Amino acid sequence: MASLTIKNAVKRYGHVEVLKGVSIDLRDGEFLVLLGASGCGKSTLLNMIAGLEDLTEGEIMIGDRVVNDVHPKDRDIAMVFQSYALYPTMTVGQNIAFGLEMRGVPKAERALRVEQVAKTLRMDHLLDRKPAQLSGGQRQRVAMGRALVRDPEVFLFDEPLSNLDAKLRLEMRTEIKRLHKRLNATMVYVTHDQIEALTLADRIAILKDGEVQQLASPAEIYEHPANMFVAGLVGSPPMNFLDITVEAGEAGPAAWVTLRADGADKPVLLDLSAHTARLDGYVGRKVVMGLRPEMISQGTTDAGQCVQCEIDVTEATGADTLCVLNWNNQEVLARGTSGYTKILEGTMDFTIETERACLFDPESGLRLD
Amino acid sequence: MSDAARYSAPRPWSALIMRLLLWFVLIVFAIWFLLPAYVVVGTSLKDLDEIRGGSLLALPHELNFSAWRHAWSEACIGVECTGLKPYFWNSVSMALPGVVVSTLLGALTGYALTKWKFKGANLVFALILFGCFVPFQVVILPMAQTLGKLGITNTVYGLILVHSVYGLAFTTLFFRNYYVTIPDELVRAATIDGAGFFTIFRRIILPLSPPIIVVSVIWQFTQIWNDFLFGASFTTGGAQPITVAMNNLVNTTTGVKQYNVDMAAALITAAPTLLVYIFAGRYFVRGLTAGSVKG
Amino acid sequence: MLTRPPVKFIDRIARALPQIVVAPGFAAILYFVYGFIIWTGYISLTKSKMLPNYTLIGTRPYERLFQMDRWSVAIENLFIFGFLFVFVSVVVGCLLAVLLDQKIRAEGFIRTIYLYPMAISFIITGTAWKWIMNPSLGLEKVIRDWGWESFRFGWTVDNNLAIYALVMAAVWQASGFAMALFLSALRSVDQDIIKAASLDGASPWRIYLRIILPSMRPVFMSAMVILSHLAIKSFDLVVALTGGGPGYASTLPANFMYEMTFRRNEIAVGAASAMVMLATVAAIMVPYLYSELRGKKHV
Repeated sequence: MASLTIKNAVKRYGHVEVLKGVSIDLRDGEFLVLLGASGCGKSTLLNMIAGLEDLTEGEIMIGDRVVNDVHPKDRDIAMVFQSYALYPTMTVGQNIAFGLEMRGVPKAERALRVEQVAKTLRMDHLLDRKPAQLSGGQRQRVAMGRALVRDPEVFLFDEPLSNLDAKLRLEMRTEIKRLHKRLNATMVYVTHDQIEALTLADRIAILKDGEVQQLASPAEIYEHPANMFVAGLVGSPPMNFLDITVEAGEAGPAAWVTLRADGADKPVLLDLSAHTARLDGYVGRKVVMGLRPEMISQGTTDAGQCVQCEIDVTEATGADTLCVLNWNNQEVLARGTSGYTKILEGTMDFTIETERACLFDPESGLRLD
Repeated sequence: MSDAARYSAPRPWSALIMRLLLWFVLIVFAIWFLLPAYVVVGTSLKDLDEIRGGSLLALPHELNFSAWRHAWSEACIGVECTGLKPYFWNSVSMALPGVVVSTLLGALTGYALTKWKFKGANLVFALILFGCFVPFQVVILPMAQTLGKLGITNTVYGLILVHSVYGLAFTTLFFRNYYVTIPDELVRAATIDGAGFFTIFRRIILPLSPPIIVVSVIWQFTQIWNDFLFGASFTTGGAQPITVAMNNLVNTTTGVKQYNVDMAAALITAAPTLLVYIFAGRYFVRGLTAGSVKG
Repeated sequence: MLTRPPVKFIDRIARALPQIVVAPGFAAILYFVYGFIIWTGYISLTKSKMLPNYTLIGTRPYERLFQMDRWSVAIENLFIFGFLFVFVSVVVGCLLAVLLDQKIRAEGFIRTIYLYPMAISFIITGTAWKWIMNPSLGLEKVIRDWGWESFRFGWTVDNNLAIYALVMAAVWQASGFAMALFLSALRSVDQDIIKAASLDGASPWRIYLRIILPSMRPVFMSAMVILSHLAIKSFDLVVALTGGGPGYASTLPANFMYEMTFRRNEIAVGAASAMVMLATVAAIMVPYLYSELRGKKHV
């Protein structure tokens, strides 16, 4: 096991800068998820850690060894690929043993280790099959086995679950989590799926245009997103963004919000006094208020300010029912009830937890803190 | 099956007529394609009297293989009356090494150009690719000089060199187009597993290559065996490949024109590539269209 | 403790391996193709006769070339032959492909018959057709014996018809290849489009003419380019079928070049004719290859 240090990693292809100086420190045994949309540079970064691509500038260290010029095979890493990259002409057993064979591990020991890994991943019965004879989930397991058998210092995962159907994806996600818990190995995991990131990671690095937007624990990222990009990317259903103008209210800052479709009726004054310090100097200026759907919940509670809203559409997902509200021609998602227990229609009471709202500067997109 | 016919079949009454018309056209073309083969085989089995007296299209009265024997081991080519036999072996000993060398080199080049993209790899490929289409007339003269300098004019080795070089452009094209369909992630995975350039080629890429090796081998064998220009330009007398020798045999003007021997000679010359086509032709088409490897 | 291990020597070699492996083949192509083109280009500007002579005399060999009647005939023949050969092969190939696409029983067998000429040498094709077109013993005699007294098939010995004999034999050889190209393209047309069109009520012919064939335009392009290139290179067929005759009535540029270089001791003129051929091929191939390579860049 080893720590992993990325220092100011830059990657340029000609004039295009794919990574603009990324620095990440990983302690031994940490699980890091690189999250971002395609083209943000997350796969490039992973390939650079693996040694499949060179750095233009910067350093990568595994343990206390700078590995910039070290061949992939000597970095003591293993990688699971999106397409699994199983060798089609070899059996599952040969696939798993290939890396050991290349390292000159004696045949008897190879067989032993392959067997152990196959047992761990519950695929001992598949060892003599060819990859073409396996299902998607089984191939995924083989790809994992190929990485596990090497017992490397660092595991790298390149969107390993994106080719699986929803149910298998869930299963394998748990499997990976369990694996990490058992091996306590350093892992770097690339994905564009924010749920995967939230469930798996010790820390998440969110990338956009080759820059780290935020590097923090899932809870921190969810509760205190660094900027509007992060806030919009993480969380499902996504956060609602409202343009508001800060007013000086009686108890502190406040903002007028129109809660009806046509904007015809009287706006409601939302109390933002919990954010007094944050909004210091913003009175009379525009800010963006971010409200997650669960911060606007149906019913009357003490948690926040109670308002009346007209429900446009309801979407029952089984566990939860979501309400789509129309606030001055903007769609706003709110949480209705749990399950199907209640019919939601017409104008109903909602509680807005203004205390938990995120406030952003409209120009820089940064969260006000 | 792509045919539109499946989804919007014509109405039954016209279907039959259309079907008959279709078969009529197909059969007429089949006859046209088969006519030369029929005439060549038929003529080669007749004796000269039967050829002069009878019809071109008539079946031979009896199966008379003497013209074949004559063409193989007795007919005069220039002043040597050895038949096609020595020239046949010339062609064999030119084609086999030529095929092996150009296929092997093409496979390695195609592999390096697709799976280890280096700076300028695309330019290298474009320059090689244009080599497929250069009219050989433009290289004949300097080639003759080069072969002379190397001291291999008028030898099988000279022709092996020529065919290996000019075949390389095609084999590289075949392998390159095949290898781009193999996912790069396989090579990356193997690199991390600790395999190097040649190990990956031998253990991962080569086992996936039989379909395209078949294509390359068939193509190169056909090209080399059927070549006339290089053979005629760089060899004389006993060193000639079979196509050149056969042409000389047919155009030898001394003595009575022995049409049956000419046709038998043509048949012997065509036999190897025809056999390859008949037995392996479908692998050729399959290999050319073979695409991505699932894995 | 920071340690930065140096790049291992063996890794340096390993990094250069792809280039090292490509080098011999690429060097061979550079020398034997591009070097030779330059060499021939140079010779075409010298006063070489029987042996190469490196004294430059400018474009005089080209001027001589274009004054020669034999060359104008060869060029004219190339246009007739090239145009007819490409056009007829494409039409026949396309027709056969569409017909074979009608769920024909024994399709594989028929395809084999149509395609086998591709496997044999132009020398054989020429020899066989020369025999069939033999004026006294060939097909002409057969048809006349059947009662059509005026039938003429002795094209190879006719000044005006010899070039069409070449077209005939060349089409026989190559139309099966065109068919194979078209057939595989037909099979790869998106089936959903065809389903949609037939649900819209289009008849099979309409589907072919309006949807399938237009979508095959790239294949038409490829077929025409490959066949034109074959036409320009045609050499052995002429040698075996007509010998370029009668006289030089059916000679093609490739034969002209060979004749000048190896028989008439006019090496400079031969080289000049080769350069003109190269220019013709390049004019067809370079734009084609350029667009092909560009289009596939992302693959």
